[in-house]
Amino acid sequence: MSPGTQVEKVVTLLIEAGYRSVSQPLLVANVPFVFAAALAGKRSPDLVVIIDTTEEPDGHALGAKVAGLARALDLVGSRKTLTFVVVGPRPPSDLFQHMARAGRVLLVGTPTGDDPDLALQHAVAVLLPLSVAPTAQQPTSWTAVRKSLLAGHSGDDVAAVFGVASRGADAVRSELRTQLEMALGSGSEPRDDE
Amino acid sequence: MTNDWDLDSLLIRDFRSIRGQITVPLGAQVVLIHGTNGTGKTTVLSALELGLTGELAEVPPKDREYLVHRGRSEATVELRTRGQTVTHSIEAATVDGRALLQDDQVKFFQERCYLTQATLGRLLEIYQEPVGYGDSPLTRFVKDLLGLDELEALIEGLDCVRDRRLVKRLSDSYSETVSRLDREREHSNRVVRDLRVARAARRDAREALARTTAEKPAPSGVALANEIAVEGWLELHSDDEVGAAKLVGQRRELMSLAGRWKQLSDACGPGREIADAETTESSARGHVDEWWRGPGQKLDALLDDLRSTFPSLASARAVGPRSSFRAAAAFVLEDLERRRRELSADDELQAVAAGTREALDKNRARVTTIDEQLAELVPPTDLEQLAHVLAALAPHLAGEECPVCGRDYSEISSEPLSARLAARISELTTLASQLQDLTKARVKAVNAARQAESSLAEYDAGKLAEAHQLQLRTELASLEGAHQKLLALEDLVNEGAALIERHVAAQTRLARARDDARAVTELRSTADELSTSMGRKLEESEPLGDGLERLIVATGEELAAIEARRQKRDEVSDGLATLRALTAQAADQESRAEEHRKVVADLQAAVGRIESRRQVFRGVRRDAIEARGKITREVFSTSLNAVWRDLFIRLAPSEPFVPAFRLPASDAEGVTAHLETVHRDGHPAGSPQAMLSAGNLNTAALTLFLALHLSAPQKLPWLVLDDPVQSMDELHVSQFAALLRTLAHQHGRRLIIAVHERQLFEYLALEMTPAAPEQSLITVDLSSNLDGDTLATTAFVTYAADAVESAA
Repeated sequence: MSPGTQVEKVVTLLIEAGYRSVSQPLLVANVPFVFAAALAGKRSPDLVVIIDTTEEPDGHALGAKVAGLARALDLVGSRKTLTFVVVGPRPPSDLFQHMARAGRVLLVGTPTGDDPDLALQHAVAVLLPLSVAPTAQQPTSWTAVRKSLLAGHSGDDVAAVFGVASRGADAVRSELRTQLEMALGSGSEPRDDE
Repeated sequence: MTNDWDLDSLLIRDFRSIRGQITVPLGAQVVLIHGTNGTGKTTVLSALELGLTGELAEVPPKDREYLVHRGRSEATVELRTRGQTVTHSIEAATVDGRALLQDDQVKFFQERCYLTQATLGRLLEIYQEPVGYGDSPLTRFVKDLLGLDELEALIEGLDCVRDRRLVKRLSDSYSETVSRLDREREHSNRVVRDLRVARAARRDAREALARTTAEKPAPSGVALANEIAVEGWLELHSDDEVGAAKLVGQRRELMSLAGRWKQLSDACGPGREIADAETTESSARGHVDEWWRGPGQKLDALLDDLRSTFPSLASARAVGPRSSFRAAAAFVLEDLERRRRELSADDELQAVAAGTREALDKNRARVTTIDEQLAELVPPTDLEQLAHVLAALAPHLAGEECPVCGRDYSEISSEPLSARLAARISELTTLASQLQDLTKARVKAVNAARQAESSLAEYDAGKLAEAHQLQLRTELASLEGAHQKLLALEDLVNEGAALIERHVAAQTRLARARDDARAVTELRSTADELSTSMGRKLEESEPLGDGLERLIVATGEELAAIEARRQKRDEVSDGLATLRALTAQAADQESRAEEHRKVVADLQAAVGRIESRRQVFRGVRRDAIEARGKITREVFSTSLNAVWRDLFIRLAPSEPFVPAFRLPASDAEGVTAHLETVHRDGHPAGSPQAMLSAGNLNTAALTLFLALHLSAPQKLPWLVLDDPVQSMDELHVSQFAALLRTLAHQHGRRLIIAVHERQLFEYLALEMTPAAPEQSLITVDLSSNLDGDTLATTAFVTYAADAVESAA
């Protein structure tokens, strides 16, 4: 995947996640800043800046840009937080440190491997909404389990044992004993439900 | 129960490290608390815990006394919500007050909402496999999550259907029934065996009877006796008791006759015997008579003689020669002896008397001698006394002057006077003793003489008169003569006695011979009678002995035949009885066997019923386990592991190993889980402790906590974190801040976070800045004044439009 397409993918992802695109150049305190892309959070104080290191060959210049942006934000009293999404080859560590001081750094890098899309997604995961399997809907409830089990096994004694399951293992065991002993004493098999 | 989750503020006074009173506002989505170590930031969270739950989970009872700030007497914690206020007061080690939350909510808060420093450190261990009994916290969590209690109860409760033995342990009646079945089977088998045996015995008995009652050898192919036929046979061969008894008697008689005959015929034939005996007798008689005429006479004469002396002497003819002879000899000898004794006694006496006379004479002479001696001695009045007097004189001697006459002794003798006196004294003493001795001797002699005299007197009294003595001697002589005469006759007398004996023996023999002859005749006639009565008269010509013998044998044979018949009869009779008994027994066995068969069948049916139900329940349990496994896997993979993975990746995007719970390998293992890491490419790797750095391990723990919180069906909205970013680097911190934001704003959690680093505090405050009207933030900065009282500087941050709001 080329850095260019990566940038596009990130932008798409973030827009899907509820960020809105900010037109380039970024104007803060009337100072223009140009990056590969920029987005702002709707409900978060994030200002996400996407940097394509292949387009920014000069580390120093980039560093200055980053620092400048941070300073500009401070100047206008913004309480926005910066997040740098870095696409392309990993920047040298001092530049990295520089960026980290100014804000959050998410390294996308050049994802390779089986699933580059997934890797990309992982890289910016922290900006994306967190989905938790809705546990309000239990995968299965006791009622459902019971129904399915009883469907497979008929008999008054089985039903009786199921009936006391909510009272605990001892109750089940005791009921089992009762039912078996009834079978022992009686002259016939317990009546089937059907 | 109203869900009054809108916390308003927390008032704390003199509680733990907080001195004085502070109020911490809690009425915002995010509350950030800053306090350097010791200023009380953990105390604030602890106070919140107390107000909400009424407990302080990590304060052991022994440390309760330190809950009140040192130096103060009482502590207060007041939690205010929109709807109510709950207060706790603490005095000494006693905590008093009501909590906002109730039981299962308290547990949820403690386990899902509140992350203390200690818990963070232990988190990964806590969620490992359980040690000892009970479920691990993870297991409990998952079970709780799944609401699997009933399913678990079912699986556990049906545990025993896996194995028949377990069912036996569960149900005593079943166990007993199975044992009973085994026992009954055994009984039944035994009864069947017994039946077979009884039947065989019965058949054998029938065969035996058939053989016994058959007149000829049994035909090939075994005949079986018929009871009725056997009874008929018995009647036919009825007993012959009477005849047998008679025969027995006759035989006995015959045998006794035969015995007598033998006795008689052992002697040498009666006729000859008599003649012989007669001859012997008459010859013996002759000899005897002859003897009487000869020596017998002599004996008689002698005895007559002696009878004058011994009147009781019997005659020879009366008692027999030997007896009379012996008697006479005895008498004579006795008398002889007596007289001899008397005479010799007398002689002895005489000798003694002579000796005594001698002694008497001697003693008398002695006395005379002594008297003469005594006469010579002129005893002064008392020699001894004189001696004493003289002795008394001795000390009075002075030189040679005689105390009596005053003369000088030396004129008479050269010997000193004292010596002379001494000598005189000694003379006197000697004399005295001599006298004494003589006197004693005289007395002794006199006594001895006296004794001798008296002895002699005795002798005189006891000696035989002369006439008597003479008589004795005469008699002695005559007796000796008689004795000699007897001795001379002795041989003859013995001879006579022997002859008489021989004669007597011959007489006896003759008498017996005559008896025998008579007996033989009688015997013959008795035998004739008997044999006639038996119908087998003896031949005249036949010797009696042989005839008797022949009859005896014949009788014996007949008896034997009768006996044999009886035995057979008994055999048959017994056989019949046995057969009847065996038949009854077999019938009995048959009915018993049938009974047992029925019982066994019933028991088997019952056991079979249980077995079939057991199988059904086994199926139920199997399916239940499968269902549980399925649910568990779903929860783990879709719920828990998925969320954890997501959170971890957010915080540590460059870490290739993602922690996860390894799913149970089999359904039967139930709900247990093990920690592992999974590489991004999907392959499982080692445990988190092995694969992750310290920082990422912390992240793993933190994200696990959050994952558990998010996975649980939400009960409470709070996340209370005490210094959660201790060993995180800056990179992680910024990810963490973003995550917190997501939790607060996207998932509606109320965050209460305490940190000790100012920079971090300010950074988080920046990150948490409200970016929309519904978002809010409270910051609380704890410090203490110069007096030591705690101060809380609070700030409310609400949404304000930012300077940079560029349109897209």
